[in-house]
Amino acid sequence: MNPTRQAAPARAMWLIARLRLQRLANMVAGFRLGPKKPGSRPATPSKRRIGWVFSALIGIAMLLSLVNVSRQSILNMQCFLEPASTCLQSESGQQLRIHLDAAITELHAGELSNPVQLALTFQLSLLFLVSVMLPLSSRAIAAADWDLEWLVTLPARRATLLWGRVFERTLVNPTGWILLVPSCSMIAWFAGFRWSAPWIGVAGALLLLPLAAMLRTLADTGLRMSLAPSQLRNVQAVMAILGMPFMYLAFAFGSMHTGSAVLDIARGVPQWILWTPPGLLLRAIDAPTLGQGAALLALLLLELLVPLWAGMQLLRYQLRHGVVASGSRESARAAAPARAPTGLLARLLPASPIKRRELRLLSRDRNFLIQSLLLPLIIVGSQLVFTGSPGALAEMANSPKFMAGMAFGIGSYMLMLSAFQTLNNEGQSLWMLYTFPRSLESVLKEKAQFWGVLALLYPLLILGAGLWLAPAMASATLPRFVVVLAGLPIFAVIAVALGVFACDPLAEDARHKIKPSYSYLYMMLSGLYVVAVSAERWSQQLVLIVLMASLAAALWQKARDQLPYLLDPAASPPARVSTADGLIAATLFFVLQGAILLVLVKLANMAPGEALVIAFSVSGMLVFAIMRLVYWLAKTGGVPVMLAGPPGRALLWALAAGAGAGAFGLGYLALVQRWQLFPEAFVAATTLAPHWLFLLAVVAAPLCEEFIFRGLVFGGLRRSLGLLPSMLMSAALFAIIHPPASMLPVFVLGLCTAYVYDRTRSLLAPVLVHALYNGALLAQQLA
Amino acid sequence: MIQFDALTKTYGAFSAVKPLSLTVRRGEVFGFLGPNGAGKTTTIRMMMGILAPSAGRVLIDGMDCHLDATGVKSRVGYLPDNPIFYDFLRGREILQFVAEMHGFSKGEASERAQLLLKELGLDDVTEEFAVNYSMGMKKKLALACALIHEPAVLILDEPINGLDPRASRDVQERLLAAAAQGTTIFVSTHLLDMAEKLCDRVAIIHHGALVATGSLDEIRSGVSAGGSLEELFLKITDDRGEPAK
Repeated sequence: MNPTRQAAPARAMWLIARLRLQRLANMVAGFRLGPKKPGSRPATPSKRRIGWVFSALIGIAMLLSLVNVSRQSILNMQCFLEPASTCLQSESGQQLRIHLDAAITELHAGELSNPVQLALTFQLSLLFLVSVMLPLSSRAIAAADWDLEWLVTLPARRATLLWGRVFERTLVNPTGWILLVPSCSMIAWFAGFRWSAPWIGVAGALLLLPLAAMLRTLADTGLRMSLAPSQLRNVQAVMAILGMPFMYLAFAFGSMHTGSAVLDIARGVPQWILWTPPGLLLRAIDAPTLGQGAALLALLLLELLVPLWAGMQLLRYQLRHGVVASGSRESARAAAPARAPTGLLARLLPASPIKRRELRLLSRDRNFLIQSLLLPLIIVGSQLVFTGSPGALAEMANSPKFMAGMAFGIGSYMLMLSAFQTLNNEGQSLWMLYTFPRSLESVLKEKAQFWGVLALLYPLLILGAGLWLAPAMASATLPRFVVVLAGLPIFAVIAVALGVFACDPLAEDARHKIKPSYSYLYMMLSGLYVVAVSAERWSQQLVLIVLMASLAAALWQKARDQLPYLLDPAASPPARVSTADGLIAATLFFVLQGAILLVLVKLANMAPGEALVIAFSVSGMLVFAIMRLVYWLAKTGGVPVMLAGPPGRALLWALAAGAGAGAFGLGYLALVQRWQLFPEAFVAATTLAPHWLFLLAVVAAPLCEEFIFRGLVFGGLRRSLGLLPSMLMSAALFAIIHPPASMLPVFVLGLCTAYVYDRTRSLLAPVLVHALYNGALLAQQLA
Repeated sequence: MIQFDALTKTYGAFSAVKPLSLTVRRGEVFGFLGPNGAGKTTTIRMMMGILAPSAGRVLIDGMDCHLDATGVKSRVGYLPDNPIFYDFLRGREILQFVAEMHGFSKGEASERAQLLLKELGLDDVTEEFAVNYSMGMKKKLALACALIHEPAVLILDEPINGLDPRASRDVQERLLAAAAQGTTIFVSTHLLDMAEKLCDRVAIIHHGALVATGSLDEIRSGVSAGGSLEELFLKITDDRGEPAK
């Protein structure tokens, strides 16, 4: 008989942590420890999507911004809280000016003063709490399968397993690392450690994180034994609600000014906080002598080891009856059977089973309800309260621009927490949607509708409040809210579409299902749309709305192509011309054109007019060549061609449509000139020679623009939309790249060219229509 | 009814299903046998449009399972090997949802759901959240989901794996009843006595390749090994005889 064997406790702990790290490494790069076994079945490679470069850039950007916030916080504390600081100086009467240079010199001169120490400790404590709470508020806490259940079957003592878990969570706590390291490093930097400061930052975080890991383990591993699942989810919801304001309160130090609420909070911090672990850590780093530092460090270690030991005792007590509680959901067996709603309620509920199911899940999952519907309000609210001046709320009603921007911000953030997660919420039961005789696209469309409508509630409420508080501003408020209300359905579509790429429905662990890069992309787009909400001219707003709508269509199409391959770990959809290609080509066209124009005018000293013609044609040809090359390399299907079918037919269509568009253009021009509608548009008459103008308008423009706007944009849209919507959207996109005065006739031209392209399937026809139209208008202007 | 045309699935260099060609006739109960990891579930997932074929295609009632997925699914009921259900939904609600997704009105859906839950002996747990079900109950609920629209084809992945003897007998009887009504059944399993009891014809796949197909008697005579299906299976899927690659 074999002697019983088991790994030594330290080794067991290391093995558990290594397993987690190996998993992380596999997730990031398919990187493997140890030699590769030849001839064996390799791990299925994951799909190629915009990948790790972007994620790494985002990570670096986050780290840099946190370093900046930490630096700014210390400077602000010195400035506003240290009475002896010369940083705040009043100049010319009441006006206060901030001299951060003075604060920097003072900070470098000696140790931190008591008020600054208190505030910094307070900030560090908040960040510490957030690094406990944020991981807890993720959905994992309520997840059913839970690896400790498996780990306890291994031959190791319970204490070893639990210490292993704490150790592993100390190392693998991305939130904790990214919050604590910059802050600790910055303290070390101002304490005079210079370039060894980052290492001290890492060491400091490493001292605090075991405590965070222990608290987190007590909360999830321990509490799940003594609390019912429903109570557990309440704990989780509370963590989500509290974590965010704590984080914003900590960050508020970085952006505070004289009236901020955070200043008063910082002044009220009690002295005993300096004796807590964060306080001791701060003082140890900032200690004037080595001896003092060592003493403080010793005390800190004691304060860490005692709670860790006590925590472990508590944990073992919590797990005295085993490691698994009963059901993973509160049992519903005893409850009276839920009757189908009758009467009025039944009629109010949406008819679609998808929407009804979504509503039902929302009403039952409190955590989801809070995270998706309440969190946006909490985040915006806490930012307003902590950093804003006291009168901010009252001022808001009088600033339609700010109010509308905020309304859109809350709505779009809510979409990110809900619509963006639609696939994620299907989770492991996504297979069910594959068994229905309905396309996944139609299901997602209904979800986009559902969340889009729900998101409209926020701006409507804010609009109501605004109109009630400041009825006089209604004429300024309403137009901006129209832009907001138009934007949220567009963003519901964008959120669902991006969510398809961001989610990995095959992932086991809910926390790793969302790829953060896509959330940042979504936030960037939302930010761009806030520009539209606060833009001053209708044309700017129109441009951004159309741009976002086309982007939504393009992303939706990409997502739609992806849907049949969602549950396939390796396959990707075949390459086909899509709307996104059109948008990319159009962007490339304008960027190239600008660059070439700049080179020709600045370096080659060419006259701007001729340079424009050359830049336009060259960039058009380049874009054409690049897109064709890419399509050829990727073996893309559906590439637009110059001529398909008999040329006579294309010619006939072109003549008819060209005559129509030209006539409309001329009529419009005559009306505009008679009524003086766009006086500014006709002031700057062109200086270009007629033959150059002819080349540009009648030859170059039709050739370049038709390939991009009809061939790629319209052709791409047509693949997933009906004729009329594709025509309208591509024409709108085509119109907004022109000056406001010509948007309407160009829109009509866009409709005509799209129609003939759809009829003939040859680019020749729209090119001719475009040439005829431009020729007619040019002739009228030159005459 | 079901036609495989050189259906293939590869993951990088590994081929999970080697070109598979096979025809299942209308009204037939067809057993898809093979050891663990032979490619049974991969094949079934391609039939359901959950995985995309690397090459080839599979047609059900003349429709391509990848390109015409919606059409296929209105004719097919599917039972996965490990059914996972939505959080926070009761068994009855899930079944009702499935029925409505198949186009039944609310009233019809509820009626069918009640009937089927009763038939499968789930009527005392209809108000429990489905995630709290035991393995056997989950399988039965998934079977109810597969049967609710009375499909012409049933695709079942290990239907009685993990069921107790009584539940397993119930399920098999329910399947025989469906077969008697003319339903085509494609069932993957490694439980041989079930295959012997239910199936008109079987196919055996091993390492992703089809190694035998036909009625049990035909296969027996082909391998020239008498005796039980078990001996046959072991002989066909024996790796030790093969030279190492």
